[in-house]
Amino acid sequence: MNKENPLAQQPTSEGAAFANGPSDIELMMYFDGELEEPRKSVVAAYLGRDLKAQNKLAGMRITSAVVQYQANQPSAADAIADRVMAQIERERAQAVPLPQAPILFDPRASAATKPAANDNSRRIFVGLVALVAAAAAVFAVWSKQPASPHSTQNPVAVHTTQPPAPSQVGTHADTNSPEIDAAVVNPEPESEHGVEVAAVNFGAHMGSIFYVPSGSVDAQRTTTVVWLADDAGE
Amino acid sequence: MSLLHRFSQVALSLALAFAAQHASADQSAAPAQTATPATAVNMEVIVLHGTNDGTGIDPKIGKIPELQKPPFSSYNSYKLLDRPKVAVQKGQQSKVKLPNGREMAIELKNIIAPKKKDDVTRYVVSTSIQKPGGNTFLPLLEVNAKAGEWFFVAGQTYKGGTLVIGVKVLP
Repeated sequence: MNKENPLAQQPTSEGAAFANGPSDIELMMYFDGELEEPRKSVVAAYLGRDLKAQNKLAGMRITSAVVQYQANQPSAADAIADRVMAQIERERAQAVPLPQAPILFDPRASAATKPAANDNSRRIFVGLVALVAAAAAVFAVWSKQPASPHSTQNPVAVHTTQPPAPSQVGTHADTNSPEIDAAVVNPEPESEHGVEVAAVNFGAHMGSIFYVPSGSVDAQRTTTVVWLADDAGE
Repeated sequence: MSLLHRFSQVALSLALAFAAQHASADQSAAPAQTATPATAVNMEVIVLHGTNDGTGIDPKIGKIPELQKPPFSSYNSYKLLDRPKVAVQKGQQSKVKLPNGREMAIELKNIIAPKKKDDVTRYVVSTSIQKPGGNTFLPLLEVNAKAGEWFFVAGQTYKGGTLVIGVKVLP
């Protein structure tokens, strides 16, 4: 978090110190435990009676928890090369008929015909067949991918050692803004959301949508959480 | 000519293989038998109080491992305040009184029957939270949920902590 010198903003009198509340930087320093006495006590007292400041602190706490959790998780991209290679190996093992296509052309048999020295049609043909076979193999790999995030007919085995980090989807505080559409809200098509947000209107409040990992790692299931900031309080 | 002929054979084989694969995929996606959907469901609402008082997670809450993950983990303690079950008719609102005096309105907007063999019934549920004066805290949250899956609305300030409200359609 950005921490500039808070002393420049500190008034000399404590009574006037929080006419408008402690600055965000002071709150950040307080949250990080870096604010020293006597300011620390003054900020703590202010937090005890000001709901808005409490909400700011709660927001910092949530952000900190999410950032720490994500920082401790390996990125899904870390193992992407291994996963691609594993998928290719699996498809290679399954798609036996496709590589057999070049057998239609037997180079040993055609070698007996002794083509002209400048006849490169064999190379072109082999290249074309290889190209078509490669395209077919790519199509075969592609077509075995799940058609939708909720398709369970062709599950793709994704091997991760840690559960995916919770994803924070949207923050919204525009009072005039209408509901958020589900297409905008759903950022992780590879995860199965047991509950999908179809529409949301946070009204006058700041709000975020989290998809928190739940269940087994392989299932990639998530629980939907809508978190709003409550300035009005009880 | 021979070269062209062989190439045509390969291309034709691949085209046939492609067509066969597509046909089988379409067959597997054939719609399942659809039962007549119900017009009412039972829902469970769980009302939790999150604080940082160090008391941990109330065993009465049961198994909700998400409470130990962000953003819930920004509070180290959760206490069960209420756990009502509500019967919700399609197109009608049911209301749950919250500890902070507000009301959560829950409405079953639709029941979506499974379209494919392995699909499950999904429920379109709309929720909102009203303040006592008639103002709205949360104007609308509409979700498409499977039975038995929690979704949570959190963040209302309450007694030095926050209220976490979970809703799920009972199977």
